[in-house]
Amino acid sequence: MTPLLPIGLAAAACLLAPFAVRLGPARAGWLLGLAPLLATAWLLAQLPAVAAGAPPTWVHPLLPDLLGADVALAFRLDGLALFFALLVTGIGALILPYAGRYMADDPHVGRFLAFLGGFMTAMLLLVLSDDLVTFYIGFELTTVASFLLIGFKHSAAAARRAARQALLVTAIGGLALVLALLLLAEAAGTFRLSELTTRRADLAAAATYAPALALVVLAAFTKSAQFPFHSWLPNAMEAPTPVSAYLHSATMVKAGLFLLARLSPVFSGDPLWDGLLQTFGAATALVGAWMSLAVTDLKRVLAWTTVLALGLFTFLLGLGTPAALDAFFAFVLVHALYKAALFMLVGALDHATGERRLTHLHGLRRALPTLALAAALAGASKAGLPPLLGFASKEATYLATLDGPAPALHTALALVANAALVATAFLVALRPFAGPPPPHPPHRPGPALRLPTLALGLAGLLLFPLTATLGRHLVEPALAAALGRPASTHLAPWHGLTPELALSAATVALGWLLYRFADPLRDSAPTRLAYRVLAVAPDRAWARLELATFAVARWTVSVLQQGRLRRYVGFTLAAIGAVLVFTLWRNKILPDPPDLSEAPFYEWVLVALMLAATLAAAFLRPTLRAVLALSAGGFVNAILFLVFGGPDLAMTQFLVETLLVVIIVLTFARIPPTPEPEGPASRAAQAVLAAALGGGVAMLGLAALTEPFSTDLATYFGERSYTEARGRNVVNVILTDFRALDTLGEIAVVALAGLGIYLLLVTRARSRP
Amino acid sequence: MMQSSLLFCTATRLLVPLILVLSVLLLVRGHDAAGGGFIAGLMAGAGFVLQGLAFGPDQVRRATRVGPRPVIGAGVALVALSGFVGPLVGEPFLTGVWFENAFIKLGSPILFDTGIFLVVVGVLLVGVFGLAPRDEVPGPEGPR
Repeated sequence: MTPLLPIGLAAAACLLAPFAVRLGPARAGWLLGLAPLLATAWLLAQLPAVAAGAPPTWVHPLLPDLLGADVALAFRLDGLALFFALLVTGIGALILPYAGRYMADDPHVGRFLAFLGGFMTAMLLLVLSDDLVTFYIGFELTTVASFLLIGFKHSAAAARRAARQALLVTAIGGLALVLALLLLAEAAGTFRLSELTTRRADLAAAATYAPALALVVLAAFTKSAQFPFHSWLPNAMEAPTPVSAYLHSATMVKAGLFLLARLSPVFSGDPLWDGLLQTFGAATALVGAWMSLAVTDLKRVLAWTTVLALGLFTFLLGLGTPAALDAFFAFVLVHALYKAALFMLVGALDHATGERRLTHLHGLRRALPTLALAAALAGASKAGLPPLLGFASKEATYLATLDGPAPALHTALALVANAALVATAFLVALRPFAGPPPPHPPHRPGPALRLPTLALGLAGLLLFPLTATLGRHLVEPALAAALGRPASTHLAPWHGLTPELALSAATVALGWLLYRFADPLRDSAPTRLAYRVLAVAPDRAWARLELATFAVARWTVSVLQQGRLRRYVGFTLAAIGAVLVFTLWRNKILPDPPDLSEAPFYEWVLVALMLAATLAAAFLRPTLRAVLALSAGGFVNAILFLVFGGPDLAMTQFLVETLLVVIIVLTFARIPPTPEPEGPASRAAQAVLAAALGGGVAMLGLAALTEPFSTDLATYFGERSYTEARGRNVVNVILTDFRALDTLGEIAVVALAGLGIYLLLVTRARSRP
Repeated sequence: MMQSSLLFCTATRLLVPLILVLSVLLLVRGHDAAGGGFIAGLMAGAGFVLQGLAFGPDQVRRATRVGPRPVIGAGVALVALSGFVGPLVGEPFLTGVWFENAFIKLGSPILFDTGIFLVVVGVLLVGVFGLAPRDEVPGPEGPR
């Protein structure tokens, strides 16, 4: 069995979703949830092998020798991959049934489930990849999948805007990532992550080290919504709740963290890396902490606490010590469990009451007992109360900050962030259920909405006694992968009477105070102001940036594309001519006149014909005659190719000339009958352009002839054409075999051009009244 | 569309099938002799253009029932998929895999070339018949 299995299962869920919904959306959700459930079981079964340092691996060569290294389809289930893959499949197995029920009334529920499956597939591709190319593809596919899911309710303008914002912000990160990965691959001489992470010394010595580091950080910060790129995440609340639950807990925002953790062995300990991660992580955590107390929509409260958590994660990665990474993994696991549960809870409350404002929800404990229990469990885990897994992770965080380089400052930061987590945990999980019962009894949500929520809540409780086991079998292998060396974990349910315990108690006390005074704090002037500065302003700035980009685009189009074909052609040819003449001048290329005494008689005839055709094309009117003359010149050219022994070229030239005449004539039929009058100045400019281009190309050709002609390539391909590619037509063999990848790219361009023409000509013709 | 001459129409009737057969010939022999997917595609495109000149573009539009878009799509798909024949037998992506005996010679580069052929034909059909005028006679949906 190979690491491909979970990816295949997730892809199957994605592909089968549109058919499964014919059984009814709720049933389809349970059925499709089996795929990630199976994947989870398989992943759990790999724990011993991974812990023993024998990660399941699957490699298949793909593109040998690209940039001096081999690109392959390579997948490797090491500790880090296993840790994140389990989150993706484990939470996915609960999200799919929930989503099937939650979206049951939507006509496009099949599409929705398919997108979720695709999201899962992309995340698994990312975390299991051992090759930089598939890694990058997975990273970008998560962007695409989240775009589709955030914009799922595409008839709402807010959803479209949020989707576009998420797409563009994370696509900036994607561009940064592709550059970073190419720089790293070049410096390390390998595309394999497992090899790259062991070549720290080579990478650090390369000149591209610092740019690569900065680009990786940018990619991770945009993806994981770090300040100041954070505003896409709260806006992504426009997505249906199952998406938020999945996006915040196990996928998307965790992709950036995964990237940082994956490359930690290469960069961690570098002052720039540590400084960036600590500073921006801390800033993000504080912004998230404050903003989570400044909003009333439960989904937004949760979104801002995700920003908080993401900041804390990044900060811990920036500390980079074994204790900090220990806390990082514990917190990622805990966060995934409670965050998914709380989002599902808010979705279920929304479903039951049609209300998401925390100021309007109260007293639901009797009407919704299962949800109240789930909320209590998930909320207590979020607040870090014993006996829940969150307690262990909070202890680990304090252990890491006390053990770190600046204990006082870092512990204070962790204390503030954790207190905000406590306060928001009470706001989301306690407040809707406490107080007098609501005036209207809520409508009771079905088991698919209640049970996954409860399952995630219970997981936090049941896993608590197993903390040490989890640490040894799940966290330690991940720790080894992220540190680049084995390390032992300190995770335990109970550490005794330690400073961490005192800090935990202080956290809960401070959090309780924040909860008690949440309403006045939210309405206070500093919070109002901070909300405008930290939440609204970055979002507005983004909107302005988008508008400015469109304005620049419009301006460029208005300058370059004035609707006159002659101008377009003129711009293009002038650019080519300028480059040509500049190159000739710069390199002082002035070839000797060729020796023409040997030229046979029929070549003179052909040249004379071509000259005559060219002159005729320049001076004949009406234009149709000029076109025919030009084409005649082309045919003579084709004969020249034949004379010099290039039958493939000659055939191509004959056919292209024939078709071109037809296409040009058909184009003329569409151009308005009275072209703009042509002044002498315009004619002169055209003559200069023609002379520069024609003269330049001729000079270049002559110069190429005077250079000693290397036959290396001709010999190489001539010798290998039949022995290696079984073809005698070397031209064709090069196109379809030796350089097939280039041809693949070219044919894709031709096909896209064809589809573009189709859109312009055929679709527009049809839509015309 | 102007009425074409009887001579031209008759010649076209004879020539177009020949051109199309020739284009397929150029395609399949391309690996060993002058030809190949690109040239064959141009040749087939020229055949369709000739037919269009003689009998009007709408007749060709009707005859090439599927329309150019699926042809282009199938071409790109074939080019890309032919690359995965190599990985199936443990070779890198796009490596040619051949099956050859005394009578027949088949290989994944021929699939690759066929994909190129389809893309070129499709793009030519789009370009030429997208530009060509439509029948003035209103179709079943009335005037366009």
